[in-house]
Amino acid sequence: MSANNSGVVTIALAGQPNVGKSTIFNLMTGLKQHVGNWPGKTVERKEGVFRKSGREIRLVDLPGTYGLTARSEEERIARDFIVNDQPDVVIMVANAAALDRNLYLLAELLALPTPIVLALNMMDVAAAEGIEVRPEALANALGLPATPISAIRSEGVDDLIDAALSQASRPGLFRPVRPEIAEQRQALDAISKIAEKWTPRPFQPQWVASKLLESDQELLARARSWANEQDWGKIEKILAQHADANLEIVGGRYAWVDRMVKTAVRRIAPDKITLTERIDRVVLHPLVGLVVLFCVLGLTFALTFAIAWPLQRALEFGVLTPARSWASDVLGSAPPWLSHFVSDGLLGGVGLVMTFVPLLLVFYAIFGFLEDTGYLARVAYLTDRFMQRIGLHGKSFLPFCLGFGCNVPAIIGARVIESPKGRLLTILVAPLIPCSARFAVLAFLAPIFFGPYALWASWGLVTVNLIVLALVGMLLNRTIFKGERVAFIMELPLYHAPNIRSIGLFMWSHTWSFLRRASTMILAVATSVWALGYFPNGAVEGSYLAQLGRLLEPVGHLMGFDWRLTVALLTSFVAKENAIATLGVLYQANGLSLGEALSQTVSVASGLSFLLVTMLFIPCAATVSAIRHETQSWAWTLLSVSLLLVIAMTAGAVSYRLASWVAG
Amino acid sequence: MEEGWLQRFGSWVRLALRLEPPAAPRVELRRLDEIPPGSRIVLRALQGDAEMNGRFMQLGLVVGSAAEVLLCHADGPLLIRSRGGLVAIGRLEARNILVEMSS
Repeated sequence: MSANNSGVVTIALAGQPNVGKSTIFNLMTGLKQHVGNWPGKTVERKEGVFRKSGREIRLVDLPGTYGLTARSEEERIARDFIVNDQPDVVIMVANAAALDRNLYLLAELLALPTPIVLALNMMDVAAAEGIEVRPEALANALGLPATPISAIRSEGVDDLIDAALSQASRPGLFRPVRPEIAEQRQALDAISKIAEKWTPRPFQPQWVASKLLESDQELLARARSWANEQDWGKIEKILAQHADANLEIVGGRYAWVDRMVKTAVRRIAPDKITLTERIDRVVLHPLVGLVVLFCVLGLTFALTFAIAWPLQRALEFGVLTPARSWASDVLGSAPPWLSHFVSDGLLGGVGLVMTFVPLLLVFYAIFGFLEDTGYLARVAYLTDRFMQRIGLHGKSFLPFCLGFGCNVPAIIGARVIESPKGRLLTILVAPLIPCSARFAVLAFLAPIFFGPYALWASWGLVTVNLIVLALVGMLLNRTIFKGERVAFIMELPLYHAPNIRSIGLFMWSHTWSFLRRASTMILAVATSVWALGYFPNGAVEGSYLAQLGRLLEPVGHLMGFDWRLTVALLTSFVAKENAIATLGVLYQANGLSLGEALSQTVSVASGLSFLLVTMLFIPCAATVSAIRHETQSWAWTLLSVSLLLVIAMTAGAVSYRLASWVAG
Repeated sequence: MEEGWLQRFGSWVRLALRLEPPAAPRVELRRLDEIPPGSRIVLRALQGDAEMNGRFMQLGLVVGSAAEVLLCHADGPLLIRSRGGLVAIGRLEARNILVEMSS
């Protein structure tokens, strides 16, 4: 074990979703945590190091899972870590108010040899729900330490770590009361006897046998590769005779859970109508709930723009613009391409994207708050009936909400959807959510093209985006994803008071992941587009990009674009706001402002088409990189990009023809 | 084939002499999506595929467990309380759960 080898004690934090596991992790590790992905997976991996009682502790936050049967990526990761990495101890966090369900994971964990300490979180919520939990009685019944804690009030966490360290130091003394599953005993014994011969360490034949009877697809594939043909034939025969073993084994674990709960939990007021139920009667009502949802979303956007927009403007004009001119001055004697690169490529491209960080911070703070209280899960419930019509379910609405701020977190946020099909479909349609950068372009150009009708035109364009999203969802659902239904089964957490620390860390970790992306992919693309727009003669008008724009002019003509509008669209691939910067370079001449120049040269039909294409076009390089990262596939990324390209160009061409025809 | 009077008489005699246990009373099983809100139920069968049944069971919806239907609006998902937690289930998924109304 690692404690013996390196002196570092490895503790894994396991638990079902919504039990306060992240709050405990944050409490223990503070900002000394590393957030990344599990190798080769798109599931977040959080790890932190801290010291306690003179010992160095490495804390690994396992993904929230209901059990250890590999039905999802999260479950596979959690159990692979416990089986292969063999942490010194596992802290299993349970919601004290829902032990009859939470202890199921414990029943699964106890089938593995790793020592376990039970953390009984949310004791206060249990008390408020009329549930009395006696930790000592539970610890005696289970034969393992059960420590009551309140993560939100930072209470009991020290005792919990002490208990974990004590378990880690004497693993031989860990003798819990393991669930004895009488059902299917014969089949279990028969399979484990066969599996004994070839099951490699650290797997245990008994555990492998139980997972095979539970139809665990991953273990079935592994066991098939371990066993010889004769043995596998015997196992297949047993499995065929016990096709319903899964129901009985799981039922047996729950029966064990019920026995454990009975010894330590007393319901003082079993029929009490809880606060959660009272709130849910209102917020989950099909009509009143939707009104509440619209108010919450409206308030979210209003707050985001009220707080973050002035900050974005201040950063852009108060910091970025002076920084660009300062860079030009400082690098005056350097080669012109270098000064141009720093000023326009680096600061103008990546710097501009960075100015949107306040927007993300505020947006994530509000979403972190909504998630922490338990409301966000209700949004999935409320919107499910609408989302089902486009082949998705309510959970997809959550990343869509994030998409209004920035499409990158929307793509990453699709991780909340368990089924690969639902997740992929969400990723494919999420770029059609108009992000804040597209709102910025719309806010700037709509008054120029449409004068007094700008507001109506903007609303119309946003509505078109959402209609296209629904249509594309329906189309994909009836073609590529035909016949695959996304099942909607989810737990709704109880409402609870939000934790400022958790919200802060949620906000920080998401923004940090965006910043890291900005420093890699966005930097690379910004540099490439800048180089194309600068070389060979140092001016965008005669650059390779302009040549490309002229080359693509016949395509642009279909949508009513001249080469300059085409180039502006191409540069918007780095960041949407670049469209405005490029238009500024290409159109400003003869002392006219950009607004005057555009309204004189670009017709309303072309303007409408340009804005529509901008709204529907590939959002930006960061989003494409996120799609590639999350789908782990260039094929899906290319499909997504091509789909958006075709949709945007078709919509542009149709709108241009229609608007020209209407204008006579 | 319908039972003849002789067979029926034979069954009655066997029952009267306690030679065979009385048949269990027939319970009416209904699909979860047909249950009105406020009803208390007991889960009797899961009829989804292995994947769906697995997800039901992970959330505590196992055969024999008691639950209460809290919300069930028009064509939207259902909200049930089971094992101290709240579970939302899509209407089509709920059709795969057979339940018995409990008193």
